[in-house]
Amino acid sequence: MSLITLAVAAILFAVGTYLILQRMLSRVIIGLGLISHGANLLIMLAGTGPATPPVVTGEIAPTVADPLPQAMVLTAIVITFGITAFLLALALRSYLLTGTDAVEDDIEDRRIGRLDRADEEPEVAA
Amino acid sequence: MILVLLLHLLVAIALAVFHRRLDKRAFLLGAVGPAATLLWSLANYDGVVAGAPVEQLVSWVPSLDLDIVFRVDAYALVFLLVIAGAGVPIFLYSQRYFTASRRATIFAATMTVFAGAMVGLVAADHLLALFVFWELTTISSYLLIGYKDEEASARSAALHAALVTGAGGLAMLGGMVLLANEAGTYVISELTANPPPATTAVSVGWALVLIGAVTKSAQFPFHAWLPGAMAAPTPASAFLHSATMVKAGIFLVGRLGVAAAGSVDWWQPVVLTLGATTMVLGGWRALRQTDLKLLLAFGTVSQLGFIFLLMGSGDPELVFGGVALLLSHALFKATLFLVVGAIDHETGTRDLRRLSGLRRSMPGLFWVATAASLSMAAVPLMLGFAAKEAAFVALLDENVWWVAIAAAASTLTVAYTVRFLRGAFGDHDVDRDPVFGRRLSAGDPLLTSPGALALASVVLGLVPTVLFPLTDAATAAVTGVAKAGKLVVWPGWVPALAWSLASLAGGLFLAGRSDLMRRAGDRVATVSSHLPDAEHTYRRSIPALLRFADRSSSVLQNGSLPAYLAIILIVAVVAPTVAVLTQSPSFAVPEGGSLLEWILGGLIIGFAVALAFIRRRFAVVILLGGVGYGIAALYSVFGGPDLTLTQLLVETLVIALFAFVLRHLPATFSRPVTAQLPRLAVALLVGAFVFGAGLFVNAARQPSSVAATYLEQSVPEAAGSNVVNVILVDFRAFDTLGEITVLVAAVLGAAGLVIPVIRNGRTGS
Repeated sequence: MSLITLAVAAILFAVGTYLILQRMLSRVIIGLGLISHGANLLIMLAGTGPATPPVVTGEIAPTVADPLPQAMVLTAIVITFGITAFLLALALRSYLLTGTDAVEDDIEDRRIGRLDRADEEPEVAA
Repeated sequence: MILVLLLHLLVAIALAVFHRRLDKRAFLLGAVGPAATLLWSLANYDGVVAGAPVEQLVSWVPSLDLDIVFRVDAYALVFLLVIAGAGVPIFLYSQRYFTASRRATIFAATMTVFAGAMVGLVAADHLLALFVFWELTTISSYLLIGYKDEEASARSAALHAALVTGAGGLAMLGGMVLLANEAGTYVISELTANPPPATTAVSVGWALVLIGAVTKSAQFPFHAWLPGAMAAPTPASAFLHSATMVKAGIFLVGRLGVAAAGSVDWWQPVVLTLGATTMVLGGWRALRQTDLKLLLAFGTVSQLGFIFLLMGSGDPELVFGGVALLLSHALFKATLFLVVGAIDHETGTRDLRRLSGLRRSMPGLFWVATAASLSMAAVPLMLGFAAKEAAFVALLDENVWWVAIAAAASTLTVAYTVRFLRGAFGDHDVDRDPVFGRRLSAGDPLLTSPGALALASVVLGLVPTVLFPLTDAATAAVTGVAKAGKLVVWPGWVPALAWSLASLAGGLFLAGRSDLMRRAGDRVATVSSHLPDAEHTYRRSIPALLRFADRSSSVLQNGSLPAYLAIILIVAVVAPTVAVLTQSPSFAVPEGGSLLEWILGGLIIGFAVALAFIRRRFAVVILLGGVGYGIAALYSVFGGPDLTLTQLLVETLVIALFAFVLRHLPATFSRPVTAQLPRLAVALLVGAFVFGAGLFVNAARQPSSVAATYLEQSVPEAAGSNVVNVILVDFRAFDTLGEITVLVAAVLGAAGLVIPVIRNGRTGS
């Protein structure tokens, strides 16, 4: 593990979080991509530091990298790709249907929030 | 016992199903339930009173220690007799009281369910079973109070009762779980035999159970629901709200009182204070009522306070007095409620300012009411006197002040008894449109049902010794002490008698000077109008609660996706941070890293930060690609050529996809309209959390043994030298299959979303 790589992971998370808190759907997708990168880096960091590839040619060298996080990250990269593709398709469809890239507030929830004084007086015995 | 319960259930179902064919016979069928309870109780009377409880056990979920256990000892038998003894006459009375209708039949079914639940409640020997029956009585009480569901006042009274007793029931459940956890058993007889030691949890548990009992038995400060519950038809008031259901709380404190008083030392003073307050408050309020039924209801509150105080104390002598009072109260109060119901039924009013001369027009009812009233006022030779004398004797042994309070409350009792009798049957100048009753025929259940109960009060008052074995055995069942008190017609010249006679005389004096009372009452009313009143507190607290719910949901559920995400993220960051920090963790700062890492890392950071601020879409795509390729390069530093290759490929595809999609979207992002500072704060919080988590992980890092195995076994077992590839396609092949499935699902979904768009674009152009 090295300090700079950890810092990279942390900054990727921070920027990714900032982006998924936006209303633009395409920015949210980019944010998600950044967070995935950050998570992958964290998994790699949890393995060994800089090392030689885990390819066995005769003796197992002591500097060889941990293969397990690599296998996990490989899977994660591919799955992230699938999700990004799906979300992009969704964003495109949503834009073509609504004419905007922004995520609007949930109208139903808004209405519940405004349901304040309507049922204030319950029945009370006279 | 189980058969009796099943019979109640069967009768209730039959009533609900065959309501069309039953008409007036509905209540006759309903009476089968209490009658069966009565027969069962009488059949087992001798054995149980001799000290041999009837026990029945049905194994339900043995592995969870969940059994259905019933155990009827003498204490439970007292309640069974009250339930059945009041139940049978009340059902017969109801048959006359109601005109046949579908709703009356449903009412009968609900009453039957209630009677069954009540039997189960007193017979259950398992805390959770008791709770289930307890809640069943709450629900049936709700339905019975709200019988006239077209009246808003009846609906809100039903809701009031259900909310207060329901909330109390939930508190009780929490207390039971705490107690059972500490005691290691849910079986009541085992719990009382070996009370848990006094820890904080046990203390809280007892307090919660007490709240349940206090709400159910309408004790101060939760008494206000009981007068409201008088919106129920009178048979329900007589059965639930005077004879049985409100005794459930008393049953519970009586059952657990000895264990509780032995376990926590605050129990006895708290129970005594609550009971005494309720007793005086209820008696005072009863004096000021003009509705006969409300007068009786406040009287019930007062009497319940007295019985609660005695039963809950855990002192054998007091419990003995409590059992005796309970029996006498059930008899005379049910009688009086039925009398009021008969008056209401015949004249159409319960307002004592409009009733006059009923003594002559309804003589039978008058004598019945007089007999019950004499018992209520504890006039010698009545059952109420014998019971109250037993209670006074016990209280005198305790502390003279308690007797003084009880005697003061008894004075009020005598006064409101006279007020009741005079108001209902006396001749007086009526304010407006006087009403007169008519003579009830001798065989009318409106007369015979209360008559039978009143007769019991009189006969048992003359020979109270008949009740002694039962009362004594019941006291012994919960306290372990026999012969704790006496039930006699005439106690002889003892100090307790002086207190009894003094309260009787005082009450008669107060009743004689009703003008004095009214003026004193008005003065107290002006003073007490500044004090919080239980009814007003309830009425104000419900809208406040609803307002709070509205406010909090309009803050939390505001419809904004970013706000929801921010809340989720903050919780996801704060919760583990707190959990880790309380464990005094160690952190390890790693070495800085190689020059290559710094160069790549610097590039990635630069691209990423620029991503947050640049608004031109295509610049964004290029920056995103830059981050991805940078990461790919970093992977190769970490010794992962496979990762580098995959990341390069995937990143290229992603860029192509973004380019395709963004082609359709506007060239720049619109400027956000809302404040970005909170978003920035959440982002920094998450970044800091990840950094800290990295340092924590670094300190806790252990070499994985799995990796060593994979490295060793790769060539011999899978004949592959690239270990990462071997893991993916051989060691963990099924994981990869799952991954491919996810990928296919995502691609199918994306294709389904995009292909129609492409087609339209072609036909459109």
